[in-house]
Amino acid sequence: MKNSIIAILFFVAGIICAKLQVVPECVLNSDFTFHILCIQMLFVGICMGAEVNRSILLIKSLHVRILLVPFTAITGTLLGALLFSLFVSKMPVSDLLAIGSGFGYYSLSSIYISEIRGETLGIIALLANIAREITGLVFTPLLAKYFGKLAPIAAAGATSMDTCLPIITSSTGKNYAIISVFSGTVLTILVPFLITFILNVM
Amino acid sequence: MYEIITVIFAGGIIGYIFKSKSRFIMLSEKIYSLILFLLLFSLGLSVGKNESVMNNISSLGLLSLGIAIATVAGSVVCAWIVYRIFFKNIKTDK
Repeated sequence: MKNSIIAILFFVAGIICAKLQVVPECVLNSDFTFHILCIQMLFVGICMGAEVNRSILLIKSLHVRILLVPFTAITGTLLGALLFSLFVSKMPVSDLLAIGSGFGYYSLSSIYISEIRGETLGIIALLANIAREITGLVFTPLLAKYFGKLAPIAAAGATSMDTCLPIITSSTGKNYAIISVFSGTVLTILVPFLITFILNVM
Repeated sequence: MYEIITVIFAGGIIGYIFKSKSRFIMLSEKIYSLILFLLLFSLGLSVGKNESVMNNISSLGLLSLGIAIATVAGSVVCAWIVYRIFFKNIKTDK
């Protein structure tokens, strides 16, 4: 919990610093986040590599069940969006399902959605998916504690393979990292297909 | 995305080679939790510098937050059910 609050403070500090323009242009315009992410991933990789033997044991004991994880995340997300559509009358169900299908992968989903349905829906998709990513980062320790070790992985959606992976790893145990990466990768690959399918077919 | 997978893989090889060096592994764990804060700070930076997000954050923010909460809640409930049925009896240690 302490870490979550510190995490939010850092996020807010980032917004304020960008607004006050105290950060040099060159940092803002570079792919800053991505570079940090890559360094982060190197260390996540090291921790996973050190646990390879135990992870293999886990995959062996899980077998086909590992496929259940991304499937659970998809089903839960779409059900959540469907339920939410009951309370929002001004938006078609398909729009809500498409935004949900970003699974936190805000850059790609917002681009796809704004191309198919226009700027406004794109911005909603961006905000909603950023919010999902942040929710994943912030509530992972609580979710893991009260709703089982799969809950943070499903909640983080596509971001369980990158941004949320470190916090998921530290709150569910290192051998769940492999499940997290697997689920996140499957969802990341599915994002463009699901969004296009939902918006064009429904 | 491919860069990220490559980097994880490279790290994985390093970690596998040095897995018996427990101090190195512990240090790596420390470093990655510290970088997390830096990552959130930079996420804040990119949200803050994005004009279209900042200008619309009040009007669209609530709706977006609702969608985020609904999808996370749906995922958590489904994951909880699946975890209880299929995963709970699997012995794993931290």
